[in-house]
Amino acid sequence: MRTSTISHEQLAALLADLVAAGTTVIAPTRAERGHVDYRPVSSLAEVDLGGAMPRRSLKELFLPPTEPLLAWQYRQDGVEISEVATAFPPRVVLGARPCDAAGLVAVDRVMDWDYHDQLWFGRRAATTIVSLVCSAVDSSCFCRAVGLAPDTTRGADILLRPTASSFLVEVITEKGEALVAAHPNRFKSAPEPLVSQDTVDRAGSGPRAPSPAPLPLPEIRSWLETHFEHPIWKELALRCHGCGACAAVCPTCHCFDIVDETEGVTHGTRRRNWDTCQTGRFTIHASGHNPRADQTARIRQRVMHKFAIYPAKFGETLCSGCGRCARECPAGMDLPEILALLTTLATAPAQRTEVVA
Amino acid sequence: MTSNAEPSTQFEPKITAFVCNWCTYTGADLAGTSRLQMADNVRIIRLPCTGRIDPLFIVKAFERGADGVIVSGCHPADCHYTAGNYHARRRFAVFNELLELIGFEPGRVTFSWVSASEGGKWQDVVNTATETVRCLGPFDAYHHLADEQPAGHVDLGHVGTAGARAVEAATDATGEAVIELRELARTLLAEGRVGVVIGWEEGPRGARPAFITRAGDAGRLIFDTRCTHDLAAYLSPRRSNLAALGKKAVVVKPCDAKAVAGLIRETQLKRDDVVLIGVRCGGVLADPTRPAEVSPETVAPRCAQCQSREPKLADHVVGAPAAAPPVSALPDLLASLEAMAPAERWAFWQSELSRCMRCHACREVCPLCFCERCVADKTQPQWIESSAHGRGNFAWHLTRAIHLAGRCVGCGECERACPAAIPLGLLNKKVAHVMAERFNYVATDDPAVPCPIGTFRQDDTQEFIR
Repeated sequence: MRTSTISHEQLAALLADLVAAGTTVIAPTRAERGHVDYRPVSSLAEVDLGGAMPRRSLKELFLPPTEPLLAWQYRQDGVEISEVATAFPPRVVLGARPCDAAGLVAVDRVMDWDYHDQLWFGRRAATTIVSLVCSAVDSSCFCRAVGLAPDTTRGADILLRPTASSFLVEVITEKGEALVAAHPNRFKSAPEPLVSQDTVDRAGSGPRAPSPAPLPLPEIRSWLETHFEHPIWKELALRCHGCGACAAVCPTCHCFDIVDETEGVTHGTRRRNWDTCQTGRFTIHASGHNPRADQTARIRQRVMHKFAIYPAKFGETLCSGCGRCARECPAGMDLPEILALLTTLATAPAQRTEVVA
Repeated sequence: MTSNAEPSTQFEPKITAFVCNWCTYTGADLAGTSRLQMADNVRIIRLPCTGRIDPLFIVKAFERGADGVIVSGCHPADCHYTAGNYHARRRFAVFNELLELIGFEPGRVTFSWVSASEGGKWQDVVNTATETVRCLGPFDAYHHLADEQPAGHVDLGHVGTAGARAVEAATDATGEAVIELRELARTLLAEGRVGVVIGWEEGPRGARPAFITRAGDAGRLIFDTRCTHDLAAYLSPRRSNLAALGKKAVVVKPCDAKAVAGLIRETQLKRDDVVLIGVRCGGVLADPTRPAEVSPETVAPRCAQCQSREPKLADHVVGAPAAAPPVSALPDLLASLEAMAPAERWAFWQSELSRCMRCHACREVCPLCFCERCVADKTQPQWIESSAHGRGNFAWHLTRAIHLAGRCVGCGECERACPAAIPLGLLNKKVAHVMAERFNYVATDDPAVPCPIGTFRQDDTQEFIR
């Protein structure tokens, strides 16, 4: 791992260099009604580095809520299909939350599983992610609980670690190396390389509020795999509106629907749009039968997919502990709380009594 | 029927006319058989009655390339089906004002009454609408809504809840209301009069809905200024998973009681099937996650107009008499928006709705969105595109607002639930103003008061109709 440092001034200059060279720089910035979102920026002054958690995740930079896949046009001699471009101009994400970057890696697995998604990977290849060690977390953060940390390098090309006067720059990937190499004057070699991830002292970079301790994810998974029918699902579903806001802001929820939209008698566009297992529409059959008939089945699906189904396929967890689902839920559903409950059920079931029979 | 003998390079608008079979279509037929000369820009779609003309038809016409729309039917008192045009008049009065708020220029849509004998009037309606739309130019703004283009941000000087300062817990968890509430819940459950009491509890992130099924758990119930959630949503017949809990008791603030009244009015709930525990309320916070004083900065926007301190629709009322909430210090966005030019309003909504992801959280939390299958989920035909592009988003939000006309109780849950922070309440608030001004209707917790859309008066205002 190559390390160097970059001062605030040089970071501002780097951002200006990138923008001047025509690279889109995306960073957390104050947007409508005081919320922070990842948006294109033109100077460091616009960037809310290490401030509030962006309300929406990085996912939508790679899987937009809606995107065209192809367009068709009937001609006299047949149908003309226009494909969309799968190569994208370079861009840099500056100040990504480590949990957001880690979420992308989880989605990478799906997008390269039975089908290599060229749009997802086209955007992934074109994007260099500069994460910033997370310092401003609230009580809904639980990255440690799912085995990550506020300074995880997963999914990042470069990790910035704030010091008193500058940032330590940890280059993680070749893409990160290329960014540093292209702007050598902006970086200063660190006096000595940082020690490895596992032993570095994180006292200064830890979260403000204690993120829950790592969870027994294998035990939770095996409990889930053997408790498809359990009163807990009914109980959890009670307050859930099935609104899907959790999936919309989740950095790892990636389900989509594909629709053909006619835009006239002879032409139209095929698009893919976000979808979520939290609505009845997601599973309804053409016959009218819905195998996930109510919210009880849908809540179970969300938890199962993240902590049992995905782990069974890919050996990892489909959750990076960003806590957005809990922050955005209009009904106070709380995934950290649900995980704590599942931990109790999986490891000490005697301590738990059901509320709903 | 063309008046343009010479080829012209001027813009020829495409206008779709939705007309009723009995009056306007016959009137247009008369114009034709009378050889009246008129612009040939209008394509007529004949429907049985103006009452059959869904506002979505207008949206669809613009989606498919129309530059203008005419809606026309029988004069008042002439309807073949007695009252279809009266119903349509109310609906289009609201829709017309919604289109205006969204940023449609006046004249894009023409409403008229043309009888079977008024061939001359139809000629005039067609010529005038064509000239007006020709002057406005092609409706490219609508036609290109689905194109990929980043929308700029239009700032209304919106100060929102995200900037509100939290203060130390100012809530009295064991106040009079809470003690009474818990005691009542305990009794209702212990005596088996209800299977569940739906109220609020302390959650990991502040107050949240609670489902108490055992008398011993009644102590979990709370009521304070963070209890902003409208629990009437849990009475909707769509919540099939709640049916197993048995008869429900629900804690309602005065505003929530209006939503319950809506469900009863629209036969989604029988009054006897629910026990309503009213709480006296002096206003709640916009943000239920942080304890704060109810101040002009923190008060939920809906409390500003609220005149009710206790619900009339209730079986029990608990708590001490409450004082009126402070007037919100948030700027009146609707007034700012209405003061803008149409193009600015259009830009505002394009910017706001560009963030919509079509998660439909606004719909799912709405206590009055109880349709088993929403029009937005119907695919045969696909009336509302599910894509989160401008075209789909405009169609969805216009439809949501018009479908809630006279039904929305202003609880603001749609806006609170929106993960994209879109000020959806502005659309509902606009409609509420139209309801009050035109139909003298304000949301009420009296289920016997009819919904203003679905009824009519013969003397309803119709200044927007030619």
